[in-house]
Amino acid sequence: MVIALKITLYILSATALGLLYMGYARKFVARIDRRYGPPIYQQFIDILKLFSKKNLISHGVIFDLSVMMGLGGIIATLLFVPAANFYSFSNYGDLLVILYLLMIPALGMALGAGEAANPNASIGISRALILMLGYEIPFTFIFMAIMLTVKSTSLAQMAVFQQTHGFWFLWKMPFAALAMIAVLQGQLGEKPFDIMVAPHEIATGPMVEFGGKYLGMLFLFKAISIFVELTIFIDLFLGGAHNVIDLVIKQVILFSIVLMINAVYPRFRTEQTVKFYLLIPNTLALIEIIRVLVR
Amino acid sequence: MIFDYALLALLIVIVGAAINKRLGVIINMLIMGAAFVWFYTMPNMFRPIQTNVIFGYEIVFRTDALARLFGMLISGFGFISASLFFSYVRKGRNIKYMNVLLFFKFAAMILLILSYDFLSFFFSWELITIITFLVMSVGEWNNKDALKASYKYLIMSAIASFFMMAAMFIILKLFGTLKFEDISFMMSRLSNGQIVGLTLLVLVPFLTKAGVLPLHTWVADAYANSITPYTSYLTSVSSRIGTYGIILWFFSIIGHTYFTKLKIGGMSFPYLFAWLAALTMVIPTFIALLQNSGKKLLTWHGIGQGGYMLVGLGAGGALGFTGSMFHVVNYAVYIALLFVSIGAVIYRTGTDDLNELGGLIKRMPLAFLGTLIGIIGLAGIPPLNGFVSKWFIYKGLIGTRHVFLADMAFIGTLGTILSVYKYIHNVFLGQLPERYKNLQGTPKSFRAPIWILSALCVLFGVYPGIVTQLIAAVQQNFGMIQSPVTVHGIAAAAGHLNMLVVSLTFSGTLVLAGIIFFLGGRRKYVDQYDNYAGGEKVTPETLYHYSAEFYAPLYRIIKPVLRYSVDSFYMWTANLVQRLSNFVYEYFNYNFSRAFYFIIIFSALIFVYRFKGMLW
Amino acid sequence: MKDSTLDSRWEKVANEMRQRSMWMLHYCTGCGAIELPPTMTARWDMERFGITPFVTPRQADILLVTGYVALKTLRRIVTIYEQMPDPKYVVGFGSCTINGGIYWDSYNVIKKLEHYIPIDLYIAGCMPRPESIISGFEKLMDIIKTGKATGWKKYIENNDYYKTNQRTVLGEK
Repeated sequence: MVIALKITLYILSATALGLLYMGYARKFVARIDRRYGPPIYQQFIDILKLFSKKNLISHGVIFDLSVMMGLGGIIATLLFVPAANFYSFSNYGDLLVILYLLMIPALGMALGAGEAANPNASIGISRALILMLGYEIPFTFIFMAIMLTVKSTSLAQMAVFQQTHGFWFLWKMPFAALAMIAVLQGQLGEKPFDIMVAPHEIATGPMVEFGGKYLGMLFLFKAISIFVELTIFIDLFLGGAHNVIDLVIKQVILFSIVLMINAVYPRFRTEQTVKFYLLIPNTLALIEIIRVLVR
Repeated sequence: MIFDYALLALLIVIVGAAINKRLGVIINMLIMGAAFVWFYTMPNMFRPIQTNVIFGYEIVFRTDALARLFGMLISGFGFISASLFFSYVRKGRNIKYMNVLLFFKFAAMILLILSYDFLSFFFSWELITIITFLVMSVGEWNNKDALKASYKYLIMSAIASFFMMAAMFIILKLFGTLKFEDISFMMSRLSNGQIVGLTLLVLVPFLTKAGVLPLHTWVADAYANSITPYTSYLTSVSSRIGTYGIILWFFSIIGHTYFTKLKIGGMSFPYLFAWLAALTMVIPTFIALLQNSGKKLLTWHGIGQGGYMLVGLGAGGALGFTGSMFHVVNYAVYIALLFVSIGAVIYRTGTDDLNELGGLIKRMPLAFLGTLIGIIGLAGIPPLNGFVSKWFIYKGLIGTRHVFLADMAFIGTLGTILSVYKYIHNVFLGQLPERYKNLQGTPKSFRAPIWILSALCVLFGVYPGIVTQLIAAVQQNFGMIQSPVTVHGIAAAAGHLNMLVVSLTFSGTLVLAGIIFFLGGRRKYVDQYDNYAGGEKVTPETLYHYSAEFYAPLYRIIKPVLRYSVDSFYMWTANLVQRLSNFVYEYFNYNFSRAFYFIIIFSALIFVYRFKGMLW
Repeated sequence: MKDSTLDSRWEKVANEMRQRSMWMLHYCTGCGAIELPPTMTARWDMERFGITPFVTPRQADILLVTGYVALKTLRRIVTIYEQMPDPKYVVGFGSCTINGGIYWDSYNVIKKLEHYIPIDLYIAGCMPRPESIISGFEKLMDIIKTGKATGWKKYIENNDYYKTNQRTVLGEK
């Protein structure tokens, strides 16, 4: 019973933090643009407004199921990621499970967008999948390097390894950390890798027919996925986190770095994205693997 | 005794098919079902069941855990594929011959996996080759592509069989016996180079049948051009005969301990073999991405997945072995499911061209469900079965510190996700064309296989122990270390897996998301023409569908590499030989004086060589 | 099932939310749209009120009819308006939507947009500067909060009236 309460609290706080981060993102980028920007709690208002929309349309059963699969999948992933030494289900699945669970919501939303029968959505999905191919390749090299060092595939053990040995992989494996920042940029869908949601080119891509509560659930998905991806980075490179305050501080600093890159860069085209990922982060990650193998 | 049973069964099927098409199919299914039950009740221990002496050579048939696994696979999928024939009875194809041929192929494969000496092995192998050729070409007289592809298969298989025959003769010369039991005892007498040489000879037919680079060029055309009951059987089971041969050779005949120590040119032979499998994982998957025909796309994936089944054998340790063998079973389940689904689509629409179809989810929802579960399994996404076997393979490769191989496996999975999304999008999602507005649903005899195979996908995903415990018995038979499998996953020290928890978590969160969903406003369903088009109205005449060149940016990046292909190399060699023989023909054609000159000169040379000593 | 007081209380809360998070449809119909980029960007930052542009009608709340409405544009505007989910608000931007503006005698331009789709708020001017736009949005936020912006209900209840007008002016629609 206590476990169920703890898990519910975990999910709720992850959602709330994620929404706050999204609001923080808008504020931060606005300040870089030398304007005020919306308040930090803006996303909560947005979601409540979206859920109060009436007379929505849907294109079929899969359209409805897709947002459920998206939100359900990311919450399931959340439960397998260890955060601030709170392991909900991490003992039953390791980093490989997390990586594959991250693909369920993407696939779910791809199916829903496909059912919308709108070519804007289909183009958006094809670009998003190519982008995913781009950033997952260096990601595999990076976590292989860390798995070799820690001799385990469990994310919790990777965080504990850094805590017990007293260093962070951030400076032990600097090349991998640099490559991971680029990967994180792609995972979060921030510029310069936000080709999948290119509002002016393809009418927000996959989200073109999602409105009202569908869009609300997509926002919740985005919030939780920000939390999950930042936590994965922190567990891999920043030594996990000892408690919630530590976690939040690390997430805010990391997210600020991501946002600073986002505010300055324009958008890469799809071929440029793939070529970039195949060249620079790949080489960095390969250097890291060779360093680990030689040691 | 086994031959008697086989011949009797064949006779019954022929008679049944001659009487009535449906009766033939029913008898076929009954015999295959009986075979499945017989394999299921077999014990896991090694047990010879029959010995004969033919032409002075001893012939042995045996059953053990490996034969049990493959036997259940062959008979189970034969049962399901045969049941698909019911829908084709009225379509006017010569179902009688096809039914009998399917049974004949099944019987030949059962003979192969039961045989434990080289003579019966080789005999069954040749039988399978010929029957497969007949399967691919009978009934396709009008289909030039099918005939050409089956001819290519026959030539390549025949050449490969010569390699196996050569290996057989060498073994006979070295050991004087053809029984695998005796050969495996005497293998330790040979040197490293000799064993590697024999392995290379024997690998050629196995790799050809399994469709591994670089001997894979016949697979795509040959499988894609046959009718659905055949394609599902061919892709799921037929290629795995090559995998069976490889496992038998590496682990039963050479033996696990000696196999890991083999070296070629100073490098470890299993490691090079695993790299060959890794290339097979990646390259065909990206070729599949660019296909425009649904069946070809799935067949190229079949070639790619064959790599997964071999990479764990070579470099994965105990976990990799379990993963690869589990992948054989999982792959059979979901590829059969995918081919049954696309078979339903082809049955109704007559085409599998990905640029013509679209939106069929509205007319054939059951085929969509089958395809969805099939692609989730193929891409290896939890909680279905493909994920578990791939997880085992990754763990095995990481555990033995073969990082780059694990990376190749992962890249193969990424490519798979891309191309299966393109497949399901172009066939089932998007805009439904006007001409398919009144399509009927999935045909009746396709429905039960889709339900059964989907249930198996889910079952093997949540309870992988059903299969992995049998594989642990196989490992025990071969004297290898067993993987610590549990009913739901694995209990290893370096990272656990419990599929029940994963599946229950995912279902729970899905329900939670559903509750949040129903808290929002009401929605109504609209048809596909109520869509955002920049203010325009979408009408049935407009094509509002993005399906051609689905991954155009990726295609532009990959295009320069596509110029090189193994198939063009083979064709170039074949052309060269043909030109040479044409030249010789033309040179000597009705030109007796030239022929006479050559005969005189060659005879003189032979005379000089033979009687060299006597001349001076 | 739902108590009417509970319903109206939820509506009050929802209206509070809706007024601080208005998403406008980025559909620029006429020359008035040129004053929107300055309003959105750093100098007269519109985003601090929670107003951002969104691209598809399925996601937007406000339809800004910016400037004159030709017959061709009216057809598209009506399609877009019907694709938006409720509650939705229409803001007439510029004098052309009020009485035809400087095109008051053109054969091609709609003079009174009110006959064809319901309008919640007008912002007069040719074209209105960003200061008036923001003041107009503040007024819109007020009428949403007090529940007076009921244009979408009018469209559902008087659908025949609007449809007849549209069909007449567009020929056969």
